Amino acid sequence: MTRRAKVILHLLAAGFGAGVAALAFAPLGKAVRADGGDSESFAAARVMFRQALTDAPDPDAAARLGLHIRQSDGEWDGVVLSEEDSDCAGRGAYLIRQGTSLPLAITAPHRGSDLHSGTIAATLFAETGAAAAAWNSAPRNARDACGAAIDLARQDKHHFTAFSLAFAEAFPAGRVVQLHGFDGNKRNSEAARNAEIIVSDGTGEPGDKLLDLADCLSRRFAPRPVLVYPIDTGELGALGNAQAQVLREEARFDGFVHLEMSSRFRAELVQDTALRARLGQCLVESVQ
Amino acid sequence: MSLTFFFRVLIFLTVAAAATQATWQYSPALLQYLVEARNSTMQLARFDSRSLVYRMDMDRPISFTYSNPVNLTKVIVQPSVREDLRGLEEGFVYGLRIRLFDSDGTLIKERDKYVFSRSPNEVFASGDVWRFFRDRSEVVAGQDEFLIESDPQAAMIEFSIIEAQPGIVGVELRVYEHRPFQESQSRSTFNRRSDAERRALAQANAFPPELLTDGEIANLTRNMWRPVGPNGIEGRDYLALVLYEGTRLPGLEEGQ
Repeated sequence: MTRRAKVILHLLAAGFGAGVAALAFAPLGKAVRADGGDSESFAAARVMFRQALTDAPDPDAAARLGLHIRQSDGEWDGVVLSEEDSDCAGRGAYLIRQGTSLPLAITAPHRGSDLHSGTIAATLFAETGAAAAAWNSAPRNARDACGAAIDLARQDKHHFTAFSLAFAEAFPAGRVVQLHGFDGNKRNSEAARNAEIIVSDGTGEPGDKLLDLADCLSRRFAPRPVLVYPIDTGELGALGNAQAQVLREEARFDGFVHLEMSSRFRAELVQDTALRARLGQCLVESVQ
Repeated sequence: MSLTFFFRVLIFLTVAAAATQATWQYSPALLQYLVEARNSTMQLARFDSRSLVYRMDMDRPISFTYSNPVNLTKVIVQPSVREDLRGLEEGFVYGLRIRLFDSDGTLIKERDKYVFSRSPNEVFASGDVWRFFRDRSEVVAGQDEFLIESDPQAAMIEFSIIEAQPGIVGVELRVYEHRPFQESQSRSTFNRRSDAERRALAQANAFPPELLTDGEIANLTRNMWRPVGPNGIEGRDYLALVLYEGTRLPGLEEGQ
């Protein structure tokens, strides 16, 4: 065998091996993408959620959007809209309280990957009397249990965005709070590395509503650092957040809150009822 | 004498042509002016920083426990005064009693410090930075910063107000402990900071951060501080307030 033939043979073998590896270990970026929605489904979801928030949900309309309605478990009065457990299509889960409630929606688009954010959202929903809550039903990155993956905070036509918009239309003076988690070790600045909370309204010019909430959090959690983007840090400003943009552009809603929490703080919030109550009090005060 | 229809049309066309020419020539400048005016309004309202400050109880001391015993403490203090006294020419005087304790609770140092603070209007007129509370009527007077040395090392520091001129509504503190410094880690400490933070640290230096020597970086990182929170319960032992700072820019009138 000539030297050239040996080289070609090795290249062919390497190419074949790479192909097999690619088939066996599909990269996460190529994982099944959950449906991000389109303009038509977005409009239908917006109407359906608006009716559910102001009156009562329409089961047929919800079913057409792939959502199943069931009554709450009894600890609170309302309905849960979600896909079937086995579905894992990433349509999200939505809790809507019926009767008198606070114009507050507590959401967690990265439940699972932002550890504890879903638990904190569910607990705060129960403890504050918030009107609604929502979180993702498929992971941000594909997993064995659910091959679909979706980053809801980047989806402007998803049910989750339609829900946020419907909430803003139903409660123009309310707040849509999005809970997130960050790893301080991955932040660039010393200020962000040491922060416990970083809040933003998704703009480069925070409004009075956000500053009021930030001041409340600063006082209640003193001396833990509570930062405001971009005044105190240039990181985690949520400028590309889909819900923030849609709420601002389509509803002129100024009550969006992007609330990032450090991993240590999230773990403490789950364990410490009094600490969680302080966060809840600030959220409640922000809509009163 | 009356103009004929022809001359009326001619005059109208002449005026219209002149108006069109003026619009063509000046509208870009006018638009630019409007954009700048809008931007300047936003810039005047821009906040530069937020800080948590602790208002002392007038009758009771406030104490801060360090994370580790320290030799050096930085204190930033300011009085807040009644709005109607914001222009008081003679300024404001108040006195603090500062006591340092070791880890056994033994008093190791005590001193009284009297501070003169310029009126809010004077601070505003003479400085580039103005400070304010968003949610309170009282206004912030001149701020002071001082260092407190302690040998042996102190584990706790306590402040009490021994005198406050009438018109002072409250005295607010920020306390920082000196971070332990290890020269061998100065470069890694410096490099862990963001570009903006490195530039801020090196701003007094003639060279940009990337050209600083190890010795110069050691000098910069030697002077690092960590905020300390007060002991007790907020609302009972002290009041936590959020102090805003904004850069004073040309065009901002006194009193705004």
